[in-house]
Amino acid sequence: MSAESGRIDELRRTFDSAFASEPAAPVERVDLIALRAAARSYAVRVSEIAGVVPFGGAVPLPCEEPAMLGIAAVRGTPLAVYDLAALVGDGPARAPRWMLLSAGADRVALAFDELDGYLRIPRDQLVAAAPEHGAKATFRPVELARCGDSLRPIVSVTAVVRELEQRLGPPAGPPSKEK
Amino acid sequence: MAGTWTIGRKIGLAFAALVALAMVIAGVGVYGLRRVVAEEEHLLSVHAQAVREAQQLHVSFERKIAEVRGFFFTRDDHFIDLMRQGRTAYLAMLERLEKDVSTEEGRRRLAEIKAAEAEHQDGLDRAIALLKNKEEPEKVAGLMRRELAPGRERIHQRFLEFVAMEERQLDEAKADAAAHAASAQSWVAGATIAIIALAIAVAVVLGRAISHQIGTAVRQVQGSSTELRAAATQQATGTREQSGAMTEIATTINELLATSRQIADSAKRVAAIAEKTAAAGRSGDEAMRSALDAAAGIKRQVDTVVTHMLDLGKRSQQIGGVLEIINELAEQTNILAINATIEAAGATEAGRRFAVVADEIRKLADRVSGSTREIRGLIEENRAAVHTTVMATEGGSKAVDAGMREFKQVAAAFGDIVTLVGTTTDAAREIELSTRQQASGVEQVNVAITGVAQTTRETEASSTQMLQTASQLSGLATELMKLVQPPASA
Repeated sequence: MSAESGRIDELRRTFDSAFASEPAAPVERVDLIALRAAARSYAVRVSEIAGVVPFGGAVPLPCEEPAMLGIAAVRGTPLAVYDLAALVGDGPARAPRWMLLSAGADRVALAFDELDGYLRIPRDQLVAAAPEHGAKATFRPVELARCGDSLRPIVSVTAVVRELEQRLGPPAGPPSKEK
Repeated sequence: MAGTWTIGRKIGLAFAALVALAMVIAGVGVYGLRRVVAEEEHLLSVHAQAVREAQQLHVSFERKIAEVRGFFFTRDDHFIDLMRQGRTAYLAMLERLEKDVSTEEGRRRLAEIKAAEAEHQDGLDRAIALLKNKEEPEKVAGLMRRELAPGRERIHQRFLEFVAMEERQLDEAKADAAAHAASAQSWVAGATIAIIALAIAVAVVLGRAISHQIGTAVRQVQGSSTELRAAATQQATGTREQSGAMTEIATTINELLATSRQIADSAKRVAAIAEKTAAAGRSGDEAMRSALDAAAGIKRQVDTVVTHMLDLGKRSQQIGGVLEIINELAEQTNILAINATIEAAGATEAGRRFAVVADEIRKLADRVSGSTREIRGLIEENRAAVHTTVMATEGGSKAVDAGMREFKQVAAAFGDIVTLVGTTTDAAREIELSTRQQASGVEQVNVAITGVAQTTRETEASSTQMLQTASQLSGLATELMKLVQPPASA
């Protein structure tokens, strides 16, 4: 039996068992999106984002914030696009390909280079970040996610959006649907 | 100029002078002798002849008288005729005597005799006429007493005087001849004395000249003999050294001869080995051609492999392109699943069940993405392997090409080797032949060297002999010098 056929069998058993077994007891886990910005690995909480969409470019706007790339349309809604790497202090993104959308009413888009995947780790795998892991005090990650033998800083999208609001005022986002 | 004359010339000149003097003496002697002889002949032919003819003339006169006397006694005329004949003969003799007489006195006395005889003949004729006329005997006798008898006596006296004169002149001629002979003797004696004196002088001068010249020559001979002795000594030494060198040369020639024979044998072996090498070279050439054909086949196979590998690389690229599509689809599926999960996170119970499905979809998308990455890795490895294989194959193809070129070069080299080995074989044979000829020549040289060595030894002996001869010549020159020029102390 070759290794590939063993893997196929394993995949088939896992897939079948997903239908056969009961849903697992809820374990307190944390869902993260693993990404890379400016050649550094980060993670963001899934609960703090509204989605991940491809970055198809942004229309530049005059702005005091140097991390702002411009305005991009996402599903017909214009959003302000910021460079995540520039915000966390690692410099401009090399070739942003994806954008993550912040959750909440004041939605912004944060562009990054590569999407490493979806992480679901136990909460006890989160550790507090040391002071040296943050480039800027404002966007300094305060937690680290242990992924195997490595530690991946967790960027708080909520904190980033809040800081932007404090700097620039409320974003001129799309009018609220309730309005 | 006389100093440069040779000894033979000087001696010849001296002998010529002596011969000339001897000829002078001989001439003088001959001249004197001839003169004496001529005078003697003159005496005999003139004076003695005159005396003898005078005596015969006197006898003829007396015969005529006797004939007349016969007539007187017989009165026969026959006696008259005989008288006439006798007188004719008498006159002929007188005339001949007149011719032979050379002096005036002689011719005068003969004229007197002739006149007396004519007178006497006239008396005889008259007496005869008286008798024929038969005159008185007394008359005839008187005539005879008066004329005939005195006339006869005068004639007789004249004859005596003539003979006396001729005898006197004969004595005078003898005296002159004796004087001339004495003069000639004196001349010959003087010339002889002069020749002796001249011979002594010539001997002294010639002796001194020859002694000087011989002395000079002897000194030169001494010097030359000394030089000759030195040269002979040097030549003997050089000949001994040459003899030793010839011996060494002969030894070296023998060694050279042995070496030449060894070279000839070696050349022969080289020729045999070269022939074997040529055969091996031809076999190698054929093997190389076979290997070249095999290499050409390998090259074709390698080219085919390269073509297939390049095609495989293209296929792998195509697979990679499809895989990119799959990866893109997996990534998009993953994004969609992530978004579905996000959307379902805050939904209702149905939303949570959807979240489970979305989560499974996301997991599948992750696995597809992982498998896609593995496939990409495998494809990359495959491409790298193909690339490496292509490169290696191309390298192999190039190596095969290079090998073929090398094979061709090696084949050409084998051909050259075969040709060169053939040339080497010919050269080795030529060397063998040349070396044998050289050995033959060396043997001839050896024989010649042996002859030269023998000649050198003989020359050495001759040099020694010449040295001895030079010493003897020097000694002889010294002795000859003593003989020619005695030492001053002697």
